[in-house]
Amino acid sequence: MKLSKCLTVLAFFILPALILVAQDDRKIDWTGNIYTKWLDGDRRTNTGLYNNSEFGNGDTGQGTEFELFFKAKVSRQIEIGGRIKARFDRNFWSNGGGFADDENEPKSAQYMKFRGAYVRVTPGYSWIDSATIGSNDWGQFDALTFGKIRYIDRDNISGLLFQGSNQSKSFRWDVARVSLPKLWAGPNFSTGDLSQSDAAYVGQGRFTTGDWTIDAIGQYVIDREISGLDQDNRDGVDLSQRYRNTVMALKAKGSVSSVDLAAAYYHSDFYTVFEGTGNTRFTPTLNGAADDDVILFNIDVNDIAEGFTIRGQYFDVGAAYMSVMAARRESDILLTEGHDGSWGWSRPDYNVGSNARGSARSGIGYGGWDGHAAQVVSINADNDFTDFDEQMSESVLGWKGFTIAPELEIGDLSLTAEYTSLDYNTNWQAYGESSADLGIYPGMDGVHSWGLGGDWRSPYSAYQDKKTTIALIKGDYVVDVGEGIELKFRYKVVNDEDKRVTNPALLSDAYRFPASVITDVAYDDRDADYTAFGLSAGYQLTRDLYGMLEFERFEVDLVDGSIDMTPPLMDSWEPEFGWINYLTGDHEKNKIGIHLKYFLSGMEFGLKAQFFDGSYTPRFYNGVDGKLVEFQPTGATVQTAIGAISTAKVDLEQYRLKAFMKVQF
Amino acid sequence: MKRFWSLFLCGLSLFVWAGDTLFEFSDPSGDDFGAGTLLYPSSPDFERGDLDLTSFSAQLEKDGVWFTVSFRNAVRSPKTRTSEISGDPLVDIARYGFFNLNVDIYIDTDHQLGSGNVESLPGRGVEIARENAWEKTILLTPRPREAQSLYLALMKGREKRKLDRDWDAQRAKTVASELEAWVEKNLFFPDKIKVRGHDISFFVPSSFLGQPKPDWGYAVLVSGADLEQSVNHGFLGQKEPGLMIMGLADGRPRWQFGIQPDSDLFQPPIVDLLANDVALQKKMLSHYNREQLPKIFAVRSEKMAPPIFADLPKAKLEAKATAQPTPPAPAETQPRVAPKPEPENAQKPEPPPQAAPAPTKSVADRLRELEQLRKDGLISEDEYQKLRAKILNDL
Repeated sequence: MKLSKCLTVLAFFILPALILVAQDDRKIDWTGNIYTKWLDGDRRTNTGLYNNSEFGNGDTGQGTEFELFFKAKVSRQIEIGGRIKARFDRNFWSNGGGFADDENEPKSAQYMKFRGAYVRVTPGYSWIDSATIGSNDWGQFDALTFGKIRYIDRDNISGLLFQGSNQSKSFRWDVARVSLPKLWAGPNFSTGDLSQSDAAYVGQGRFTTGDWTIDAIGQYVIDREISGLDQDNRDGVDLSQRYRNTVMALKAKGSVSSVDLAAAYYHSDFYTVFEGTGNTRFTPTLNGAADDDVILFNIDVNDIAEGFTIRGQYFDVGAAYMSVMAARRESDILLTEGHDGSWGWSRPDYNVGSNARGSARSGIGYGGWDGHAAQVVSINADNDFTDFDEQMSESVLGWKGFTIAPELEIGDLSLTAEYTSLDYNTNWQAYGESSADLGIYPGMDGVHSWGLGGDWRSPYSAYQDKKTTIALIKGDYVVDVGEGIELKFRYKVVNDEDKRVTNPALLSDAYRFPASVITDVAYDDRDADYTAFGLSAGYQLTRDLYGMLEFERFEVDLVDGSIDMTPPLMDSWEPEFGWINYLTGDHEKNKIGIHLKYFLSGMEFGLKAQFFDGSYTPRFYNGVDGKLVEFQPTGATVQTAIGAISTAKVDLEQYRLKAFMKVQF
Repeated sequence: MKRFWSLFLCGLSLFVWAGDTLFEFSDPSGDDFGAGTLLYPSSPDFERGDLDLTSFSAQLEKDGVWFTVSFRNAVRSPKTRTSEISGDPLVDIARYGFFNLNVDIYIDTDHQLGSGNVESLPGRGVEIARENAWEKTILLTPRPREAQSLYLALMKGREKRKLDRDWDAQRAKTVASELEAWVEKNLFFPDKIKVRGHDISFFVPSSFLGQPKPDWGYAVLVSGADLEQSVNHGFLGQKEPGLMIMGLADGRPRWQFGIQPDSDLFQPPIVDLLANDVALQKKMLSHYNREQLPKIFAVRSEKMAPPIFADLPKAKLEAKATAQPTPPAPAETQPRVAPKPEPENAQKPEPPPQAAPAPTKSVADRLRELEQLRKDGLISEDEYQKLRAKILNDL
């Protein structure tokens, strides 16, 4: 007995040593990066190092993120890796190491967080290429089914991924089981109390033959809870479904001569027992069972004539199309540019609200986001934790129409144009029910969807009869002076008309506070004309330094119902919070921006500074004999349904800057 | 809306002029698998066909050449995408309308055996056949200015390692200026680029290229672009960093090209190249061992004799990797150094392919010595120019 004990103890010490000796030849590769951001702006908010963040945004401050990646080849068949990153978004330099009032706040104290790790197995069998166990960005599939996880959440979502292909590589398959992130992947932003087994199962097959590719995708998401009916635990615990979501897709694309064709059909089926929580109007899923479809058809006719190509798309996105794991941002499913991000600020604070309520300093601010919006099919479009230079995402559930986009090259001038006609599957009265209270569609995110930019997050309005047209032309040209001056221009017009309530019998259902203020269906009509013009000039100042100057001008001519108008389904407390503003009138803003980029052998600097100057001139309409008629106010204010509105012109300005340094090692 | 249409029609009133077509080469479709075993990354930014070169053409303009490379799939736009290391918009990093591929073009202008360079850009893992040694190289890459800066930094580092203890501030300055001059003369990174549909067109001025001739040879390589130099090539077993090129790894990884089971991990990360048939591409990219890199032959407008694949040094191709797990070669593996160009005297019989001995003196010293010989009248101006070019080719 003593001898066997001795041998056991000896083995206990020798074996690890042997393993360590064997591992001496292996190598762990450490790489990483340091990213430092500097924000500056005249709104003077410093509750986060992102311009737009629901839980504390900022336009002032400096902070550093540190990220480490590790990777190792255990053997030819096994690779491991992972990511460790400092917490953000309150990683201010001024924290002084976290020894301040918010020392216990992990984002301020900049704790290093284990973001995720993976093991990738390449077993060497002919029918499987890899198996990855652990974290992933899940970009293998499709933005309308299981979309790539956004950058900041990359590696936060883990699961099992198996990938394979046949010998000739004409067929490829991917199968995954992904644990549902309980923060947002379910009704009421939750996957319930029993969350650890909730998962999305997704598989796709891709077959390629000649110039053609055919994809089939299937996804099943299931959220189960402990059944309230099971009172006896002695034989295990029964489960009930909180929600399930099935999505099937069939896609094909290929080329015939110089014509590229692509077609896609998606069908979703959603079921949930969640019916809303009364006060919480916003939830990232439907509030009931429904199924719907998406159809996309693309055609690109290349080189019709010398340098001339036409691209076209037909799209029909069902109102009730539901895919919980569809991409929420950093994807763009439609050819159209959509709306401009500059009007995406959801709390314009021109005449209602106050600094005390914070509305003027909430979110991205007067300048909105740069560029145009990207289109996603998620109800849960996500613009949280973004800066002004990133692209805004907008949900396009219910959009249907077509886009034609010709491209032309004339010498060194490249021109692109677009015409889009939009109709909506979400044009309905009371969500298609007898009352808006019966709809399964989550209400718009507050009613700050009202007014200027609409709401990028929620595509549903209880009362809508809307049409939109988008037209633009843009071009770029390099002037052969020195290193070449890169000139770009664009001109864009968007016309948006919404009759809202068209059934007189439902006016009282739509307008509840104050009651019955709208007495005719014509008095709540919205008509908005957006115009944008932009010009920029870029130049490579030195080999490592690039600079660009830009000018943009934005105008909106908006008529948003009569002065008796309130948003449909508005709650009594909303105007006080500044989420509702009176916005009928002429809006304009001019933007001047400078953009610098500097590169030095592995280190990059970037800087964007923008100045906005603009105004809002209110106009006022009464409803008269079934029409909206403008009147000239005589006093300093006009009494409207949302309060006394000043008749004075409002001048607005904003300055903002973002600079960053990025070093990779 | 009226203003919009009038503006569009105004744009159509400008003059159109098109240049003469110099050449158009086609490449077989469906051969974007390198030596035959490459797999596309599992990232959504890469799909089979994206790097499948289908044609390479050129149009002569009054002050340069517009080259066009065409691919089986439409060129992917960097819009809506973000940097992988910071979340910043990719359009700010990749400004020219594409982001996931590089195209190397090695141009043989004189068809002189032993004249020109055989070494490819860092990380390509191939060399250009001596019969087609290049005089000019064009790198189409999403970040041309950054690539140029990185290339200079890599070459300076290489020179510093060569000189080792002889490196000092003065040499650093001399080497830097000579490298800049050499790059300016021999390498071009286009930044006048147009992307349309399946095509990327890029302009190369005649101040760099000279007057193109019909008998020029072109070796064209397509590789995945590593925009932010995030691939650690040392980890992949290579001695030197690559120049914005994605590496290879087993299976189907996210951000590198994969390889099929039992394939050699040290095959070149070249996804497609210009060749008139698939078998030739496979042969070119698989004819190598640890002593000699794969040799790439150029194509020309004129009819050419089929390329000759000389026996590899040590007389054997390496056996393909067995199923048994083998740890990857660490960084101290025998370097796959490109053989130095043969001496300019083309009359000498072709020596067996082997790595030429590195010069014992630095490039700077040799140039100074050459200058002195000219001053002393010991060599003619013509001899000076030829030898100077030869020394600079050693870089």
